[in-house]
Amino acid sequence: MSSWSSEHIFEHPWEDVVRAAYRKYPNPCNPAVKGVDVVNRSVCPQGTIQSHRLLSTEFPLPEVAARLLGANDHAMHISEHSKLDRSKSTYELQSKNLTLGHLVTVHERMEYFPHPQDRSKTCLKQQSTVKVNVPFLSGYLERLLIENFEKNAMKGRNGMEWVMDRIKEEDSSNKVKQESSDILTQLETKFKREAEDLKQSMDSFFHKTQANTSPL
Amino acid sequence: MNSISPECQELKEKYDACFNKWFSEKFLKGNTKDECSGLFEVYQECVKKAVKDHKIDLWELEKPVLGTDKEKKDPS
Repeated sequence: MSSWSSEHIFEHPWEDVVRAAYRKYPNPCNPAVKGVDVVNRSVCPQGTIQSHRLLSTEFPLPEVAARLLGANDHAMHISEHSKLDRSKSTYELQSKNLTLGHLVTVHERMEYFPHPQDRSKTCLKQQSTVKVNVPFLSGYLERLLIENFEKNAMKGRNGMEWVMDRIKEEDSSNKVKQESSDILTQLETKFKREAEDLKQSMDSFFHKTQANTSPL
Repeated sequence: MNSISPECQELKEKYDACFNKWFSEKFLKGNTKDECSGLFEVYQECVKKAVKDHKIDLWELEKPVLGTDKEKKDPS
């Protein structure tokens, strides 16, 4: 079995990062991810969300490894469990491949939490382990897969940054729409009031005119 | 993003939109009452059927993992 780990700091607060994490796919940095479904989710009043998701990806192994495993044409299915705790500001994920599990086991843990010294930033800790059950080739294939983890981790982080930028654009757009709607509502109320005042003035004028011109 | 099955796509999009909006506007601000559970139930039934139809061995389908003895620990 071989292991790999990494730590990264996002220059964004934890709330922004987890909003992006839940809607990470699709993004142009991770085109291999083809499908995501929520198999189960439970929300607890104490402020935790537990989720179980199924991800479908293109086969992520380098071509050499894929050929050796006879796995070129398979889509990969990945099972991901996660738990977000709002009171602790933690978001933990654990995933494992379902496809070819008898030959290769890739297991990944991720944890997002606020930077201990600066809450405007978020830390990401990642750990992956890989075990290949192919005689004579396990050492070679495990090294190959480990080399791929860093490349994929960078793609994942870039993907998160892209999603966070999109969310910021949406938030700005929604804010402008809301402010415009508030202004229109205020103008509508003002015009209605002024129209009512004008009507009352006109009614009063006509009554006075009729009174002055009525025959004796 | 696609669902595993085209039949679930519309249900997924409706549920995802509800969840993402609720998560940012309510949950993160302290209102933890799930407002999307109705949409989720319908979507979940579709997904579970699709998992069976695709014969995906989702062995953890009904069992929690994080916080149990099934959770993998840090490699030593």
